[in-house]
Amino acid sequence: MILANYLASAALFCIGLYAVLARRNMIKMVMGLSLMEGSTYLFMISLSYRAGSTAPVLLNPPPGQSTRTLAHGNVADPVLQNFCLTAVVIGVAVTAVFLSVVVRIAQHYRTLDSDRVREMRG
Amino acid sequence: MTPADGGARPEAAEREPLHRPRLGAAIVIGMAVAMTVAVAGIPREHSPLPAVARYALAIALPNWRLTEPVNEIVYGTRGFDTFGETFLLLAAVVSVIVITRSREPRRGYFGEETAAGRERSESDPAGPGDATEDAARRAERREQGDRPAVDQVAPRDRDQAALGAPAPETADAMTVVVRTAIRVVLPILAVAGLYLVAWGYAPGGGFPGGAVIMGVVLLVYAGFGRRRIGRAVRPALLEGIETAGAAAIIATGLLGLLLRGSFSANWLPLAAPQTILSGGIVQLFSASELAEVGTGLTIAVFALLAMRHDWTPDEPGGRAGHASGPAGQPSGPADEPGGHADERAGPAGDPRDAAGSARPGRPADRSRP
Amino acid sequence: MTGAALASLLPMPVALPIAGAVAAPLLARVSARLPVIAAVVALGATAAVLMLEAPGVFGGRVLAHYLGLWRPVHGQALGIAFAADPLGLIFALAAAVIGAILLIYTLSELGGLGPRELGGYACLFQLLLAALIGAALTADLFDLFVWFEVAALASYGLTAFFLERPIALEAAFKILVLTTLASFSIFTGIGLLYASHGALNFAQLQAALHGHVTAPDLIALGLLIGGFATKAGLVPFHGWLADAHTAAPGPVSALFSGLMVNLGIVAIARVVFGVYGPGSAPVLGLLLVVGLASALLGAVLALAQDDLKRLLAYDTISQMGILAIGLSTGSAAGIGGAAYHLVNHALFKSLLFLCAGAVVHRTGLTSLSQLGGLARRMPVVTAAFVIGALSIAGVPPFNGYVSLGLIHQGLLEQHEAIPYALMLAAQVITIAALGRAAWLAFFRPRAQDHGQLEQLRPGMLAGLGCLAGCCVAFGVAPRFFLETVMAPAAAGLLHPGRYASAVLSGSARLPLPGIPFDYASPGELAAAAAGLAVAGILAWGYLRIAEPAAVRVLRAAHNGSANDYAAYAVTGTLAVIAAVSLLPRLPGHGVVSGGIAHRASAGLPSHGSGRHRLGCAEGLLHAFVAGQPVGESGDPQRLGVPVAGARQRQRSAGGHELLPVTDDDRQAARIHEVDSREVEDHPAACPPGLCQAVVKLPARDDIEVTADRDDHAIAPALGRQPESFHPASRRTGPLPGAATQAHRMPAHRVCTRQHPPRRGAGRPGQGSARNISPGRGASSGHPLASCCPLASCCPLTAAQGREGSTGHYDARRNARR
Repeated sequence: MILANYLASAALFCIGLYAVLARRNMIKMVMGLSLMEGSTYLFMISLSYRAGSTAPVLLNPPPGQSTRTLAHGNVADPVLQNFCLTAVVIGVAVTAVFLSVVVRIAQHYRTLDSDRVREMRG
Repeated sequence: MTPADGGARPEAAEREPLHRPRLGAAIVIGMAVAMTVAVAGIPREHSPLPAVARYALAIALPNWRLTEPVNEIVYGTRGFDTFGETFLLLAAVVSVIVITRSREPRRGYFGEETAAGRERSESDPAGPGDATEDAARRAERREQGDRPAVDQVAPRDRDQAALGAPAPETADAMTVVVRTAIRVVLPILAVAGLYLVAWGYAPGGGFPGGAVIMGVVLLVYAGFGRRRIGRAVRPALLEGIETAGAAAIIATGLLGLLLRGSFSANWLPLAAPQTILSGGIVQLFSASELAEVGTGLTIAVFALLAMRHDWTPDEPGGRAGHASGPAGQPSGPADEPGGHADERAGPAGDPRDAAGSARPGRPADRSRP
Repeated sequence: MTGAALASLLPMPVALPIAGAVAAPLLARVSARLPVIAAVVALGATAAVLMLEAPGVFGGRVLAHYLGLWRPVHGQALGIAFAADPLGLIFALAAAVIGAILLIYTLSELGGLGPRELGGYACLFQLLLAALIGAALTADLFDLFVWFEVAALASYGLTAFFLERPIALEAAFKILVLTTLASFSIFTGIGLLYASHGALNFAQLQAALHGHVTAPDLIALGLLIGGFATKAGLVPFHGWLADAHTAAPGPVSALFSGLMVNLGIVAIARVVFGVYGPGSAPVLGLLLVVGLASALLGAVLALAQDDLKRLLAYDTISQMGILAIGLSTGSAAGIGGAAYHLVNHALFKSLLFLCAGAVVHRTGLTSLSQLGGLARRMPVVTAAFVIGALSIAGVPPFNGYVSLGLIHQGLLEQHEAIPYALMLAAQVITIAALGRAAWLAFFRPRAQDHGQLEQLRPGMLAGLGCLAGCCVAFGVAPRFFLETVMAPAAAGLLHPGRYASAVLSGSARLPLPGIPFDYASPGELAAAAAGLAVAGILAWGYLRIAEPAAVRVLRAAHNGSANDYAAYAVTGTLAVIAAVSLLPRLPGHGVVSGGIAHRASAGLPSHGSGRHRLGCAEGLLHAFVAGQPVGESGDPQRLGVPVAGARQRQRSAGGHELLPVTDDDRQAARIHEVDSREVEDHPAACPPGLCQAVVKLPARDDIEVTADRDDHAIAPALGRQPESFHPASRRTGPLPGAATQAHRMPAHRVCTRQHPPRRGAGRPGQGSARNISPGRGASSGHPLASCCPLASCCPLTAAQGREGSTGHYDARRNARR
């Protein structure tokens, strides 16, 4: 929940988006998409933060708090951490499929330039 | 970049032209404005926690006896999302397997293969390859182990002779430092991975545990080579474990439906907090997730590494692909099945089928356009 | 089976295909075809479970279930809700049945694949179907996203299936880039919504958004629509669709075109109607523009194609545009027509793609210029193709006629002549494109013969026969399907308040709109005939002339570069965000179901239409709660709008806001609808000074107040003298579909503050309004007495009867019977 983090994640998202839009090398496009993924992780985690909060873990609460007061106290948001886990898994999965497709394209077209991989047009 | 190329440096790759940079910049600036307006309007660090998050924290100990609310949400209360995510990973692993598979014999006529031959000749017409492509192809064949490195063009000037072996290097073994370090670290990492899952009342869970297990397997592969890992990483075993994990996850949900009346309901008795069994089905789900994710990611990585060149002609113009991959069945370009040089005749042959089963073919009496 | 037990079975249709998918690689080791056979069995079981739910849901209910029994607390839902509403159920049923048919077709056509290939194919196919069913049945935004991603990942593997074809991999790359961009925008949208409102459940989000839509919410809406429109293949997000559907194997293209792109439209419908409500942003106009652009561009490009499957893919884009147009009308006929077209499209597009796949599989030729003369050698495939083409054309005995006719009716009801004309133009061009394809591929005499090509295998015959039969069946029995399936589907979208109440409480009834459809209407028949004639001329002409410049420009814009397609998609998302956030909400369009706590603005004269429409009501709508008997518990709250006459005795309250009301369950609930259907006209039913709820209307919003079945006048008081009006269309008679139901009133009723005490020694109500639901443990005589602090003052308590029903309403119900 920090504005600077939000802006940083938006900036990363846009840098990744620029790589996807303007780079012709397919690996660089994949890297751009990975960067966009990373920016969404930062966004989610930043959304879950609260000022002065501690982690939402009830194990070994910080001194002065019991598990009960911690559950009702100042903790970060665990639901968004669930989102982030899911996003990480999606990112891994998509990147794996992406890279295998890129290798196969390189075998067929013998180039990684997306401008030369344009058999289907119109 | 080999010295054999006569000193041509591919520096052009550093300055590749961008694709419509100004248009891209304009679109990106628009998106940046939209996102800035959006994030400027959402609540910041002094806003209260949403009620659903507070609820999740409140029910963690009483209802699940778990001290880790994130695990409770991921595998318990919102366990159906994780159910979907597991099968998302399964879909990705199967997609990778499908994309990286090698040729299998097919029965019957497949018009797609004819179309494929035509499309290949259109997209990659026969022509002289350039020097970098030839070098890359030679390197790939060398890596796959079928040919000795005899293709060095002797440099005119001794000073231009390459130092060491020509690239890419096929290292047979890592140095002793690496190997010893791996031997020391491996048990610790393996235990850490299992610990992440077993102690469910601490942060962790099936996904990071599975990733650590995959990392362990990859470390052994990178440090000790294919032969050492080959006994453990057999496709049948890995797929069996993955299927077992996925089946356990489905069964967990179904038993919840049968025993408690709802799909992801908890039907296991809850042990005391801060014990291994404390979460009920959270732990069961997490452990099955470990099996499924670890083996699934391992299968995906090894499938990628084992990708062969089966589906495309290695040389432009329709000659059959090269043989071997890790299976090590050598065959050279001269081994191409006769009569298939004509790409109109359909699929490139599959001479490398280890079982020696019948070549994919079409009945000779089938007429085609 | 009770409703709750049925609802708890809702995850089974998702789990069964997933179980089949998990078993597929193991079964592939045993035999090559076994995974596909197991998949057919799994999908058959899925269809059976869905049919169990069907009678209840299609009768006009929404069944909801919280997985793990984690029900919402105080209206805040952490657990994942599964809600079967008629639209979701028909989509899930279509996915299961058509998926099974496609797998049977696969057994015969692609049964020669190697065992591992076929196992992977079966696994991915079932995962995709499970994801489609899951996304249709879920009521949780994040769960929708997860199933969307599962479908996407399965589709990547299926697109790249024939690895020997370079275009398959190129198509896989483009679908990867564009769908991943879409999933990022959806994810960001979900994050923004959660951050602002702390809600993931559709019902909770709807409650949080209603009337308080801020800039981040609008940007989130734009991102969500952009992402789902990419999945749906609407223009300009469509770059991946033609390539992916061309390169995939035949049955997979059928699955993509028939079912997967429809998921995008269903998701857009859910977000627009179910979460945001069409009145919160100018979203219906946006859908209309996007729909028209897709319809026209898809049709024109289809006409210009040389590749048979690519032509059908562009036609899919056009049909998705038509679905978006149907949704954008916001009326029962339009949305019912869109739901009908959803199913029809699944049927005829699958049929066409199966035929095209059979052609490619048997001849190895893909381009129309090389094909020809197949009619003699593949007569069954030719017949199926012709049936599919006639269905798309909207020719009477087939199903396209009904759905397109309904969408036309919806457009004409909204008096939108230009969109109607453009839609007709798109249809004509589509017919021309398919006619040209049929001629070039099948009927054109060819010099060299293909030889004996068609070996009719049972799976292929079964597949083509079933789909063609369904096309005919949905065309000749439209009234049956309209009344049983499509009208409830439209009701689910038109009454998002009911949907939300169902999700929060477990089940709810939907008021079924009557959708009249005149099969033999001369206008439609003339349009169909004229369309065929013009299309024939156009096709004949197009075969002879050179490509026009406009078409050449359009084709040049589709240059195959993944960067450019991504640029189009992101520009489209930005345009959608800008349109949704910057354009003012346009009046005269759309339905606002319930105006909770909005501010009204300058009035415009109301215009009569099929439903009563108050354009831009000024001031406050005073809706008076008539005495409402106890009905089914769990039904949503309603306000009855009384008739003129009884009104004059009322005193209007000052400017008050309707506050969120709480149950005795302490669940925050809101009034979701202003529904005057159960209006009392008996004076005794509206005792003077009874509780009134004051609802403020949003600026320049329309409200819709439905008439009750006896053609009573609706008299919303506009802050001043109430005025009644009789829309002319009501003269035709009672509302169809409402005639024979005994109107059962819901259990909740509302009291507001500032209620002048009428009886007893009650103090004026202070604090929030209360929503009282009797029957939840209230054992004392009157339900109100136990939980409403206003009970002592509210005259309803006197009017309410014993054992949970009101005397006067019973009298009225008895009188109606």
